[in-house]
Amino acid sequence: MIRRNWKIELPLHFMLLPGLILVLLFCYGPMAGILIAFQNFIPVKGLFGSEWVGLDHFRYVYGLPETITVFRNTVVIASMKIVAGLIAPLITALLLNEIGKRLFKRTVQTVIYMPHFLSWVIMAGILLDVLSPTTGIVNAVLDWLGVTKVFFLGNADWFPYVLVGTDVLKEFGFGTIVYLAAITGINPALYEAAVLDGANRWKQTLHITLPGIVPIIILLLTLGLGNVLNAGFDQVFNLYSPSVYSTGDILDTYVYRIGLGNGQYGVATAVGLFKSVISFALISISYFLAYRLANYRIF
Amino acid sequence: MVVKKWKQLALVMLVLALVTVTACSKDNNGEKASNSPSDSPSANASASSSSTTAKQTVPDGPTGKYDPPIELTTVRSVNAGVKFQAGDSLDSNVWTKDFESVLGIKVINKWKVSDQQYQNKMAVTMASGDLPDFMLVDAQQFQILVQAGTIADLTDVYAKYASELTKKSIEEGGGLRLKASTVNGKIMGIPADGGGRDDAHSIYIRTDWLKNVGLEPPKTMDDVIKIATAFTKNDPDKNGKNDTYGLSLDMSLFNGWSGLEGFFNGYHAYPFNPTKGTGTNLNFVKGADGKAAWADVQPEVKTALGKLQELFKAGAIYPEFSVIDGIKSGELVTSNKVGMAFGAFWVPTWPINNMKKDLPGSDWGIYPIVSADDKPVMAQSTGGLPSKYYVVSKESKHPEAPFILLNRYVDKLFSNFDQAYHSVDADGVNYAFHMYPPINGSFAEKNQDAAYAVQDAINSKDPSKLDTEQKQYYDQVEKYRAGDLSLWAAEKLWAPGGSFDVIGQYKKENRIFQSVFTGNPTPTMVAKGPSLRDEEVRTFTSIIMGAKPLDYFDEWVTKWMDSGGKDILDEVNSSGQIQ
Amino acid sequence: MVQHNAWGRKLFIALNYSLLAAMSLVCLLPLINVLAVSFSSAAAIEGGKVTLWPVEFTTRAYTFVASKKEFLTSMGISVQRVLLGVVVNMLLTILTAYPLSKEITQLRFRTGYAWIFVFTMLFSGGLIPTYMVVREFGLIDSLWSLVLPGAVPIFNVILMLNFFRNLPKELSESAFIDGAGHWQTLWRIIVPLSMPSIATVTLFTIVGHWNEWFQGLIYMNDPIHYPLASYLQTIVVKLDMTQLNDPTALRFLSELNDRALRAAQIFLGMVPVLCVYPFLQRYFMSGIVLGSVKE
Repeated sequence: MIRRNWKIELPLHFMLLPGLILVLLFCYGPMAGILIAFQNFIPVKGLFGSEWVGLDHFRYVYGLPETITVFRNTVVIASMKIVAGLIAPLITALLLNEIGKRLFKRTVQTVIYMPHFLSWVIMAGILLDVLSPTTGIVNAVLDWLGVTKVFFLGNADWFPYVLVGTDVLKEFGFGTIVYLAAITGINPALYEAAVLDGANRWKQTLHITLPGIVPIIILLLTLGLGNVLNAGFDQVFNLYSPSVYSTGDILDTYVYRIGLGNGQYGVATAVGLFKSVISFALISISYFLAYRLANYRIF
Repeated sequence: MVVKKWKQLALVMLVLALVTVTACSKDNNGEKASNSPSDSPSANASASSSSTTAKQTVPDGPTGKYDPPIELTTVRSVNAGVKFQAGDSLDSNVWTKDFESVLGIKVINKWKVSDQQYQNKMAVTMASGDLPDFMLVDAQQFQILVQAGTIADLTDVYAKYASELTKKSIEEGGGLRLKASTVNGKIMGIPADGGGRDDAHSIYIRTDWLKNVGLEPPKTMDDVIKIATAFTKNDPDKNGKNDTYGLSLDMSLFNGWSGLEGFFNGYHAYPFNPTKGTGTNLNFVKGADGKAAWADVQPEVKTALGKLQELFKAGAIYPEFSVIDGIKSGELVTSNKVGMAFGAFWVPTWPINNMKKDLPGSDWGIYPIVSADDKPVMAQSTGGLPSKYYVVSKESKHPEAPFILLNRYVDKLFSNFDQAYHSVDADGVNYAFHMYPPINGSFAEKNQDAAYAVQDAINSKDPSKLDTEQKQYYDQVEKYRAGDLSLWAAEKLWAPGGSFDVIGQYKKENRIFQSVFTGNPTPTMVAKGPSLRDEEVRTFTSIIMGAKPLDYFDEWVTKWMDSGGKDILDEVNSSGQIQ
Repeated sequence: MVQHNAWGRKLFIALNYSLLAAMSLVCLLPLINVLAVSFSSAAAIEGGKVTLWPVEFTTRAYTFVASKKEFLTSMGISVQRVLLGVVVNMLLTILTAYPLSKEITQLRFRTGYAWIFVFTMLFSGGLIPTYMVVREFGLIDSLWSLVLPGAVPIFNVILMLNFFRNLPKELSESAFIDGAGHWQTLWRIIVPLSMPSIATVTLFTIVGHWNEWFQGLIYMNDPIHYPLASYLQTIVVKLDMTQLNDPTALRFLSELNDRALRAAQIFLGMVPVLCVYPFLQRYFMSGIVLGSVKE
């Protein structure tokens, strides 16, 4: 219908201009700083006066025992978050879908969505209290049930699961709404046909609802792939302590500590760059996977 | 149609232009505000050199006035609790006015943040190369700046511009502070703290609990452990519940509050590496071979850790100590849950300052630390070396100006004392003017001397020999004794039986341990200190909690040696700064 | 059989209701805890007696907050930041998303443009270089430093462009036949049709700006310029006593350690967001759904 025509097309380019300029200035401008990863950066000498060290920082990082730990932690925590962040909202959405009372349904939705809006600074303050082994509510319940108390935030074995659990608690409401919307989009005629065939609610769920939202499940999974190295700086930073570094320290917190805390800018930038490159590869893969599997163009 | 389209395009462009323009105009204003301080001295200088050279006067020694006035930039950390009277701020107060009118120095604060944010903000400032004329940095940042060559050599200006009193405050006690500020024979910074030994630990024990469990103040480490166990198991608060702990501890491990220094010292071990510290302020002992060895890996440390493990197992230590900070461990103590803690002289001022008032019947005793055997106990102090320095940017046009400020400061507070520059109490609020200036100095033994003087005055009932500040303390003690329980801390600091009384005993008997290494953090310490520190914290914590067996200590020692420890020891031993 | 099924169904429904109610409760507990602490006396809090209900009820903390200059100023700054941020972000989101929602046949270099934007989600120069750029533009210590570096929220752009893409093509085509250009189509047809998703994205933007704390700490030169989230971070953060040896400094700090006060400020900091979102929530169902779901 609309053919390529500069005159018609030009406004589109104009619309992109402001965004492009700002992105070039504030995102691509600082990217020159990536050069620091290859330098022995000395602030007064600046980006172009500092000594070039090639891949020294990368070799140094590669030789550090922490690197492998941190990398493994990041992948493990992020992957668990992606999976748990898919299943919990899915189940909740299916359960909510069975609720008849609109008011109840809406109230539950509103309430479970709420933690999504609290920042991790605030959540952490609250969690420190709630999860305390001596005064916390959670352990009081465990104790009452006859289970041994658990030192959630100080026990390296538990810490990653606590991260996943609290992340799910904060975000599952958000995911629920996405799934609910998808369920609403399923053609009602399918259900009517099933009822005629004598299928009960459970069978309907199994054979109509679930297959109906498979595309979005696949979509969210592939999108999650790009986040495999994002284990959540804000959350970990506000919850961790040295006794759980072995399982809880992630790339972002590590970069922050060695960069700002220890003044090793070159090393910090090198780790950051390494992370970006991998993320870039993953995002590209997920882009093509989503296109292939779900026939969906992310952008 | 076309017109309409262009109208809309124009509108959107206008809005965006506005955004950019306001941003840019802000930009210009901002630039002016933030850059003029560093620019104008040069502008002044060049202006004066071209036209009015004769008129420009600068101080020719420790005193004098800049005319026309100069601007001097710095950055500030604000203790969030410091209060200002109406109209006052960090930018404008009795001190800034004095500096401007008397010295001709207008101090400009390029930024201000709270104490906790200072280190990060400083790191960003350093990395972005936007240094003010002078600033306060920690020991690690000092080292980085020296290596980067961004800060000025102060050797000559120190000799010429620092007043006698300033020099005395910096050099007193053998000049250890000045030595630490000197790199390759050049004075690179002004030490901002250090010189003191007041951080040596005492034992703080609930005296009412002691009575309830029928025990005496400790004479040996075994007594300490007995008390801790009794405080845990014998219901010291008589509430019929098993809800108390014997020994206060938190994630810091080493700290002026709830730290373990005093406990380790009892076993003649002197480790020091706080969880939140820089990882570069380490203790070294002389080994059998005459060389410096790291205090934290000595076998005595293992012995003490074993005792702590037993205490933890017995329930005498809060089970989640490794995730609580000093605030939280303080709360546990004030909520009547913990009855003993090791700590520095200031513990009476925080966190236990209000307990006697808020919890009727409770009281604390302060006791010297004790030995595990018949060898006399030494209390470790890490306060001798500075942990912070004032440094001057190489770009600064007036590297001497900070000394002129410092001279004025010590003169007003330590020579010609002027209450109007120290503090005022109004409407029940204490306005601590002496915390306003951007640079300050002190005399390490000031508090100790005050305590001796106050104790003498109390014993002789004659306060006439006290100076203004000491008289304040004396009055506070008297008020407490007359029944004002809110001044309990004054009694426990200054009066006989107070924390300075205990520390004074260590000092008199020469029972203070200090690291044999007096130099600055070595390159490997700066590079690997923090990650080695984390490993150490992890090791100590897991051993105390019983998650790792005591013998894991030896494994960690080997690991430490291999992952940088050996380099650190080599650097320390070849530094030539071993006492 | 039918009887049994109906019974099972009833049981399921009962369980379902209780389970969902329990879930909601878990999400509410933390909030209630904060609220309870903020209304309790210091002694009760220190004694660890407060869980879900105020102990020794007092409004002391709130009266104190009401007179606390730092809190009120930072709240004002947060409001300004949200207003400015939402205007800038939404304008740019819409302007960027619309062209990108077109096919390559309608917009040359579309893929190139898209990757330019997406690339910034993955690669960044890091904290220090970004700081230096912000400083070069003279934005340090101004509200703009909190808005311009993140002026184009790529994630939201992607959400919007997907929504635009799924609007019926016929609408814009008929507009073009009537002689309208892209500007008119965008403002007259696309934007009004996209109100649900715009409302959703606006909410994300509001919340994002309201909760962001890190930039404030880095870019502001004076605590009185902190937005609320940064200010809250400084009061929630742990104080480090290791390096303090000055009794006066310590006394001042200990006076600040008031949990009820902290709780009250945290709670008040959440209120605006809690107030806004139920109103915008009704748009979510239609807004969030990445259009795609419906094919």
